[in-house]
Amino acid sequence: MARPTRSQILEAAFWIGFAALAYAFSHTFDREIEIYRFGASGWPRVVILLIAFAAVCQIFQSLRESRKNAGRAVEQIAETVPERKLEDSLRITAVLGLPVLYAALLDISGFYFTTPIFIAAYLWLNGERRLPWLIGVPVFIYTVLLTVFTKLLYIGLPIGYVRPFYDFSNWLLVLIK
Amino acid sequence: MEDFLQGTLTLFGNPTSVMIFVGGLLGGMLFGAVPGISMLTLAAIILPFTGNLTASDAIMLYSVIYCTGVFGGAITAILFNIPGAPENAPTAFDGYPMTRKGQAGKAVGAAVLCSAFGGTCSALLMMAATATIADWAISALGPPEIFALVFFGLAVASSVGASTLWKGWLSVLLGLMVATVGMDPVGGLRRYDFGFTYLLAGIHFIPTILGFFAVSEVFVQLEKRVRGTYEAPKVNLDFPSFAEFWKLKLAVVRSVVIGFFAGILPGIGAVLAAFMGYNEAVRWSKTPERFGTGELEGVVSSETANNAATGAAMIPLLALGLPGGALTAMMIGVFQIHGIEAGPLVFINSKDLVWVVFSAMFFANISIFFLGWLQTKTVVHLLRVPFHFLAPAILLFGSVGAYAVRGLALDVLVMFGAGILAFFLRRSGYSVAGIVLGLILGKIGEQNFAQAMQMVHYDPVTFMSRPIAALLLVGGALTIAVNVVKAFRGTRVSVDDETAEA
Repeated sequence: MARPTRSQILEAAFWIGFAALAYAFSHTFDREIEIYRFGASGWPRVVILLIAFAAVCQIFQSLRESRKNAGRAVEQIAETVPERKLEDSLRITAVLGLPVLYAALLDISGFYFTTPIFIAAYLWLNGERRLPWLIGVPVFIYTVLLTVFTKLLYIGLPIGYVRPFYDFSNWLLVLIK
Repeated sequence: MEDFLQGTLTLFGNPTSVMIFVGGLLGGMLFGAVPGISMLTLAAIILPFTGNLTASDAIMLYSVIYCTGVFGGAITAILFNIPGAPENAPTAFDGYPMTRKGQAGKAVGAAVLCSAFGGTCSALLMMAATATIADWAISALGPPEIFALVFFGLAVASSVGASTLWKGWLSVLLGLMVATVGMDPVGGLRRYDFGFTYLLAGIHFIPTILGFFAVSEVFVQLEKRVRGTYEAPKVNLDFPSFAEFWKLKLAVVRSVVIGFFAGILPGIGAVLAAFMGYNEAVRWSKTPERFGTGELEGVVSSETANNAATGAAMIPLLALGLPGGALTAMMIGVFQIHGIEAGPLVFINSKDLVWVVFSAMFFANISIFFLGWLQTKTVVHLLRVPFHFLAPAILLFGSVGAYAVRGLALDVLVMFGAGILAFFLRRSGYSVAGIVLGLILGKIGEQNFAQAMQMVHYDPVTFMSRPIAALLLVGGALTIAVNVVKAFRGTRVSVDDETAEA
């Protein structure tokens, strides 16, 4: 049998580890329910068992496929794997991370202050360097969002709890309404 | 027929009723299309004002919102992989890949036609057989049948979108596991909340769906831009031809039947209808591996089924006073505001009202065709906008949608977290569709399983003595067995990257 690759081992370890952790935590609510014999932990434990089973089957299938593909020329594999540059990987990490940072700041600095900055930063991160677009697109998206959600639908969005941002949000809301 | 004509005359003979009808049409479509702000938001906003309307106008307004709201989310699901509501999620599985292939017009056109067709058929069936079907459904379909239906749906779903059968199952099981977070449906015990109040109510499916579909799609496309492999979708406004539809006639009829019967079941409605319609299309297809890569039949099946559920949902509501979902529950509230009791007596005491509602639903579904056609010719042009301009807009619309559900910024974080998780899972060949299906059906499945077990006193023989439940369980088990045999023999067709992405 072919040796498993590192990614196959990691994938299997993830699922088995996930199942083990979920099972361990299921003890925290493993209590009887008077009207229901299987209790609160019955259903999750069946799902956990099935996850472990499917993960083991997935490992076997991966190993079988690895064995089948073992004959492929190394050069051919090398050709199909795209070259990954460090700079690209860093940019992708930023593409994934910036929205998380935006979401984390929503409660602190509020939607109204943070959003236009986020739009401009995201455009810049995705390669836009023309100043008129870096200003125009955020203004357009921001105006549409405010018009639709604040002016027309009266959706309450986060105003932030830190002082200058909170004041700015309230000033803008009064201006819009 | 006479009743229908009378209802139509009452509806269109009064300018106020016509205005309310048109307002419901446009409002349902708009609110249905914006993620997080569903037709339920609109229904909740206008609820206090319905007291100022006549009873028939108020109930008619809600029924029209229901019809067009279910359709509205299909457009954004197809164009941007953002399902406006959970019932539009299966539409995105094939609709969005069609957009990537330059067939957006065809996908949206199919959604428009099938939503209108499914809804109209459902309205006609509702008019013909409300009382009879309600009697049968309530006596024949209980928790065992609903659990069996969920089991059957999950069994089929595991074969959609993932690169291997086991990754398909792991995706569905992950969704089921996430659905267990929060209070258990029987005893109300806290599960996997780790002491956080936020997790007590469970992980809400709207932010999760937005993350899995819209956010992960933005990340995937932006990654392609960074690596220089991005290709803009071609804009095409061609509607599907009659010949293409004729080939799918069986899928349409099957989805109407599935949608209609799923719609009757209380608490299930259009969401399960759409998933079941899609799953059955996969199961009956000679080329199931093509689903998830941009198969017209996928869009046709889910959109026909979810709209076919709308008319059916009115059956238990009007005939028995049982609401099937949140919107029909609000309709009960409207009945109460006007001092009317929904149930069998409504056919005797308020016959005019019932037929105005039936006529309104019929014409609302017909209107979907025309309004949807106009929408197609305009909204598809958004695809001409460069993607890096659209990306922040999509993320922000998603953020507002996620936030608006409960007014929690944490839901926005959950959405982006789900987006990042889905980004990596898609790269590894897991099925986002499977996770979402597991998440949505998990709670319904567990709740009905518990109720079913209590009903049959934990006796599997009694459970299997119910013919519909037995048929669905055996069907699900056979589907799993056939797929497992195929997986071990290695006959399962490996899907390409595009499939895995779906």
